Amino acid sequence: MATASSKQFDVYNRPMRLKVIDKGRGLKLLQRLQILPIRMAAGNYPSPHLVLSYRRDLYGRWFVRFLQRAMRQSSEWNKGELELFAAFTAKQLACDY
Amino acid sequence: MKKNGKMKQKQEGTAPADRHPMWRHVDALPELGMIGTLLERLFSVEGATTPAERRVVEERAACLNGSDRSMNSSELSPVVAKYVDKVAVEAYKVLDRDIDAMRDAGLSEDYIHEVTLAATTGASLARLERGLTILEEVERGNSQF
Repeated sequence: MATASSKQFDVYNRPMRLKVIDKGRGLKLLQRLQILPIRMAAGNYPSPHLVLSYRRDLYGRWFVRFLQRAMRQSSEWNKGELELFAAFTAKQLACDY
Repeated sequence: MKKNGKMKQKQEGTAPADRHPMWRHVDALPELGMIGTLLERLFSVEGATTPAERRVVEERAACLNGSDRSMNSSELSPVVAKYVDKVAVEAYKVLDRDIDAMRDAGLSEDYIHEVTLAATTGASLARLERGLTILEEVERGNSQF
């Protein structure tokens, strides 16, 4: 797998996001109430949370549970080590972490 | 984990060729149980795409990330195939214009969302599978590592 380089980014194009996810269409009332104060205070809401909140029954609910299991309930590695693995992997794939 | 047990039974009932290769690891490692649930949901819930389409996308993304599964992408339109390839191999290069190309082809945002989920799942699970296979080989003493 090729390692990503920051030079490969097209700086004239900002990262995209689907409008259905950005607008929170389909979110339940409780989810909207959770997001609203954060958006009002910070001006935005973390996009990974929005992705995982949109149509949770298809993907987000199960992925979050797996993430919780892998990142917080591991018996072999401590949280710091796991965060380091995740940060390194994200760096290799040129993802924000 | 009662739910996982039911899902495992359901997967075991499918033909071996249709069984996702990740299930071999899920069966062996209870920690991966939620991946089984995720796969079951991804390949059964109806949406803008059919579960079969999502399966094709997931297989294509997995093959591009080193999986030895057979790739049957003839059902995918060229614009979708191009997008899946980009998400699977170099997701950091996805831009607004890639999404616009999908929209211009008449695809809904829900369709794009589901294709993206299937592609990312295929790509990530193929990498996980490769890692777990290496661990198995190390345990058996057959690895160069």
